[in-house]
Amino acid sequence: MDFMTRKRFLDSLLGLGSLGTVFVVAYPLVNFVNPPERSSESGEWVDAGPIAELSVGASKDIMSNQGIPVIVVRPEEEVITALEKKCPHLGCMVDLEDGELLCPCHGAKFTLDGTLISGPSPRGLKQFEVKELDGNIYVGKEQA
Amino acid sequence: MSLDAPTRTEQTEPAPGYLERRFGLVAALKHEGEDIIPRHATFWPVYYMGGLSALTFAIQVASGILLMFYYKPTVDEAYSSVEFIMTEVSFGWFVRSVHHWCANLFVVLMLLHMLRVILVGGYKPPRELTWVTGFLLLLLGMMFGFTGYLLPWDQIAYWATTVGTEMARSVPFIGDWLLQFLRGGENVSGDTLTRFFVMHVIILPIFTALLILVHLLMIRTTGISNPINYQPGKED
Repeated sequence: MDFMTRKRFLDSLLGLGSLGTVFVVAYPLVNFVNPPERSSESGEWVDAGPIAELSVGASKDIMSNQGIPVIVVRPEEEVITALEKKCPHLGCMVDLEDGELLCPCHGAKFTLDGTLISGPSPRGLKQFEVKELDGNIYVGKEQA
Repeated sequence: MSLDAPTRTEQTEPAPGYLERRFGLVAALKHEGEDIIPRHATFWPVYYMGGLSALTFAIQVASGILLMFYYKPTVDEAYSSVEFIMTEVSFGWFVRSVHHWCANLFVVLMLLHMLRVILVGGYKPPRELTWVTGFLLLLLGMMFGFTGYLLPWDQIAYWATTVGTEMARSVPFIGDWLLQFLRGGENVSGDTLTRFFVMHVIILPIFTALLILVHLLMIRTTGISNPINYQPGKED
């Protein structure tokens, strides 16, 4: 007869325990290393409201399809631009002021097409794709 | 298998396998384990702090390597990559939190270890060089903390580094040079970030690992220190 001895019982318990430990470590590890799907890979357009509501010289804040804060400005009747709202310097939110975009933290200034005028920012603001459809403004992904 | 107790012949060790015959690692480890650690050092948890700091260092290395899978040391992407780790990567929040808390624990454990060494007079000859390497390890640990703090590239990191590197300026004679060396320029910028990153993940780990090895070898040579008025064998 093949009885389970105490030694064999404890041995298998130890083996099961070790297997469990390996699993508890390996499961998060493998999951961590597996690249997650980046939400930025989707290419949908975000509705930024009707054109009529954005008067010339005004601005509007929205979230892009990548979850990036975007400021939509209308410097002229026929021009609408969407720019990243986060200052590239340290990530404060820029805002429209006297026809320029001003960062409140350290005073970086940008034109309404995103070009850097002055201040500590290492670069200008990135532009986002904009299109008009049925009187609505749509903001797409970041322009390359 | 029978219910009888195992006989003596069943308990003898198996003949050494191929690798053991070539390298003899098991035998070497057994030999290492033959040193008798005094009872007080295994009984009182205050004697565990050094070993626990080494353990937290190992955890830091492991979790740090994992974080480097996703972290990007550039002005544009540093913050968003940390955000990505915290919100999108599975168990990313866990790995970064482990790295964060073990960093704090590492310093705390080293300080507790140091306190014990001071209180029992473990720094006295012949262990004065062990003390020196231990102190250097504490400094390295502080530098780990200082350089790692900048890497998320948020406001608190930026200003902490601005203030911290500014202190270097007050060093006599080489202060200005030191400031420039640390910042990689006049101001804290992307150059500072890459510098701190290299320090944090390459230079400091190499020196720390080597110094830990030296520290341990020294302990093996001199043995652990005994408390004042300790008489060997009395308490056993």
